[in-house]
Amino acid sequence: MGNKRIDLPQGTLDLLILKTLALEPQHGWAVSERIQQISSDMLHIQQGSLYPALHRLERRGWIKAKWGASESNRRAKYYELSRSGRRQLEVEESAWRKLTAAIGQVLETA
Amino acid sequence: MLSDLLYRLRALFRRKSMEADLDEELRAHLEHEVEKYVQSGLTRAEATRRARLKLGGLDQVKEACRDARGISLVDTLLQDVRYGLRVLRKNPGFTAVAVITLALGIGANTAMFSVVNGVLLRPLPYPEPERIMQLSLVSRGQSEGMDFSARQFDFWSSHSEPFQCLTAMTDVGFNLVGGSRPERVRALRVSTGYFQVFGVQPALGREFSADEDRPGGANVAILSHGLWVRDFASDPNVLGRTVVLDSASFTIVGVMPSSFESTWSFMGSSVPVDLWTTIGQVASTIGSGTNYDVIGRLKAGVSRRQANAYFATLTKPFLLEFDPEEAKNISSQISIAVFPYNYVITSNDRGPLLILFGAVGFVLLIACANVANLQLARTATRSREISIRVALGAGRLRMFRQLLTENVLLSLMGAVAGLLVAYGGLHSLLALTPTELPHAQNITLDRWALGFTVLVAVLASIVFGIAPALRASRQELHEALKESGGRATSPRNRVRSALVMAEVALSLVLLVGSGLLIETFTNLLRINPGFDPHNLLCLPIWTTGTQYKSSADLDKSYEDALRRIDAIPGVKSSAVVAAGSPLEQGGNDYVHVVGRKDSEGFSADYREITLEYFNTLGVRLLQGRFFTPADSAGAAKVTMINAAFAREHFAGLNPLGQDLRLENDTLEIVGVVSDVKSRLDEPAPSTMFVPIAQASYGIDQLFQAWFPTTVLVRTAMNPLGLSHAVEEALRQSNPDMPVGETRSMDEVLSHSIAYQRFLMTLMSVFAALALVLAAIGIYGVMSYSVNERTHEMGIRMAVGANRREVLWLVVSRGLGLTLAGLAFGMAASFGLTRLLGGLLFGVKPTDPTTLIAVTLLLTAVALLASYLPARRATKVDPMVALRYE
Repeated sequence: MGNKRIDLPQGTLDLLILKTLALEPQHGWAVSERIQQISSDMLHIQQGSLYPALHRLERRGWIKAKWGASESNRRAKYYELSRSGRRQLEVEESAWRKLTAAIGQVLETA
Repeated sequence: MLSDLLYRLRALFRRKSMEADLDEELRAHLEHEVEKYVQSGLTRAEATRRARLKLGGLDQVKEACRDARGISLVDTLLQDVRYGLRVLRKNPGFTAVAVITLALGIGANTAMFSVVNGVLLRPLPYPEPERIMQLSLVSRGQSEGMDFSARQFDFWSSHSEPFQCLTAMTDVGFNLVGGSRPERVRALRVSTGYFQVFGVQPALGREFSADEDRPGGANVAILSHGLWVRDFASDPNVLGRTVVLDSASFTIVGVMPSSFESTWSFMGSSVPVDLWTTIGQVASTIGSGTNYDVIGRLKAGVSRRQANAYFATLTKPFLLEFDPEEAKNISSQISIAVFPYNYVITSNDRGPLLILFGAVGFVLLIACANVANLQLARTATRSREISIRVALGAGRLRMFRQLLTENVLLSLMGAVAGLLVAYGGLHSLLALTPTELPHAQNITLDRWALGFTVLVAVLASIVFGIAPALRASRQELHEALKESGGRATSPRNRVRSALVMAEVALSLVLLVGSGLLIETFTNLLRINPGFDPHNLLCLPIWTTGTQYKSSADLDKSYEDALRRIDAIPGVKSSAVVAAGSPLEQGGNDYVHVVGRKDSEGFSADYREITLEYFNTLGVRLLQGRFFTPADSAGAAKVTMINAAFAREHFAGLNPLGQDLRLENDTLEIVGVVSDVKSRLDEPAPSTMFVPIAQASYGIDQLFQAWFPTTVLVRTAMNPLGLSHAVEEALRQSNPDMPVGETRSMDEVLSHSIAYQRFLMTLMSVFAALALVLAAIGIYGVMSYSVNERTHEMGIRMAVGANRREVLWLVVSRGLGLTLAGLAFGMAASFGLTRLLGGLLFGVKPTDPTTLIAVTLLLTAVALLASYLPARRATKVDPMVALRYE
């Protein structure tokens, strides 16, 4: 827990959720755990904003929800990427890469 | 986007289950989190605490999820409505006062709107009524006259480029004989274009042919649906039957549909037309063919402006042909123009009705100001509640919306109660409605009125609700939670003071308006009509087409009828007057003074009378003599004139012995009598009288088309008690003569000022409402400020202020607000009462007496309204007040 955590830049939470769900369907808690694990605990997700984000994505039709049993045998709401969600992920990923590349370029040359 | 919509809809309809889903989802999350902490070695209690902390406020997360799901629009509305209803239920006092206030304001507006809508706004029931236009002479933008002659109509017929078709019409009356009893019917003589102009065809039969619409054409008639039902038992084979009108036979060629509405202003009343016949036969006889209304239907796509441009170019040719004198000094001011027909019908009522509508709008504004004041006062006490809700995660926008919802609810409740007020109010209003008001039968609480009510309610809720809601949703959290903040003159108080001043100002305007109309009415009541109207019976009769074919015969029949009437016990004397009864409009004609070189002739009112006329009315002889039996048909023709005639045309000269020339007769003036009014608010017109026995039969019959002949009976008792006996005497004397509605002269007098009474009563009711509401407003604000300043009062009294000083402290503030409001109100009323100008009689719009009286009244009411709370202030126990904090 000694690492300094980074707060998520505005608008990136959706991207991370979509990416996480692209691997396999997950329930909300697992999504936040997974993001933290993969980012080596560097990214700090406000759990309070995770769920509104999930519901927003569901409304837009990018993810679908269904109820299932979790690994600890609890009833949990699983989210999975829809076809349009997959397309959205590609769009957002490439946009993100372009953005970071551009910013990196500026930082290196300027 | 479709999935989005489906999602929202599902969210809406499956709100319960989705809410449960959300609960379960978050619970699952917490359980997973707790499990994680427990496995890392924490106690279950500590793990639960941390998990909750990490997730954040459960309710806020849920709220954010609901927002994210996007159901919030409808969902929060329902929630707001439920919450609002609860709040309103919990404050029954506030709710009741606000709803009643709004109900009065909205109800009065709905009732008044129904009148305005029924009379002014409702389109005429003809196809594309906006294309129907009436031709008029215009001077300086004002319609100068709509009467044209038969020849002038011919001129327009051949210069009617903008019109698809046009028609001429004139109103006439006929004696219809052959029914259960002789009846007077109201008819329109029209030219053939009439049915195309109005776009309505007869339901049975056909319209008039051009061959019938000319001098010497066949007598044909089209019945109104009403007359067809009433006198012809809805006979489907009525076509081809004849109807006897003024003893001439007319062939019935059509029946109009019941939906065809045509009313005509008859003797100051708006009455339905019974039948139609052609105008061509009378082109050269009826009033020398004048009094034609010319109406046309514009071609499709032709605007009123285009039509006016066309007719403006015809002004000069028209005047050159018909009025060369006028054409010579033609000013650019005079032109020919068209006016929408509906506008023409309602032109006299537009101004007064809109003034009343404006006045009732003021009442609503005052009501809104009152409710806004109540809301502001309540926001102060609710600030804790609101702050807590904000602290618990309600957004400011959400808070604003919640308060606005509450206001709309309040307003809609006010609207529902207002409909009851409107329903009751409209009934009383219709009872007051003068018969002159056109389309009065259309005044109902219809869907338009309902729509208007809802609209007004919503607008009102915004007007009275926006300031309080903004203020409440904007207030600073910490300040409100501290609760004691903002004791002194806060901005809230300034808004409330401004509202009270506005109320006072608006009330003043209404009170001044009502004061002026009351003054007008009492002035009219004080006017001497020129005769004694009490114990006087009036019966309209018509002799057109009866067996009497000369004035001498007519006179004999009248004398016979009058002898029978005089024999009735209780009758003192009786008389007949033709061409116009006292206090009613009558006929006029062109007269010359014989021997005056410069005399071009002038228009004077004309009446035919029997011998006892002046005696029956109680009119004084000023000079010369009355008519006598010697002034018979064969004797030298004589006339009497009234004082106005003598003043105007014989100023300083002795009129006796002078000769007047009327049409082809020369009449010697033998007497001068005092004036009798035709309208209370106007001086008596110059009038000449002739004995019926000597009158021109043609003129007599012509005038009867418009004005009934009137039997006047002076009685020694309540005249209406004798009406049956008098009617019976008339019937015995002439069974074929229709007798109209019998009225006492007191009723005629009252009818003649019905319009002013209508205006005065409504304006006074509105002003009284305004006064009461303003008083409540002042009282509310002063009470509130006394409560707010209890602490200060306590200190003042503790350091030695006496009751009088404390009393003055409060009252002076109320008085200050009132005086400021009065100042604004006076400025406004100077501008607005000018609109009343044309409706006033004997009083100027800026009448100082009215202004002073109204100011005093408002000040007195304001004093009382602030005295009551002030007295409460003086009862404050200093110790209690000081401990109050």
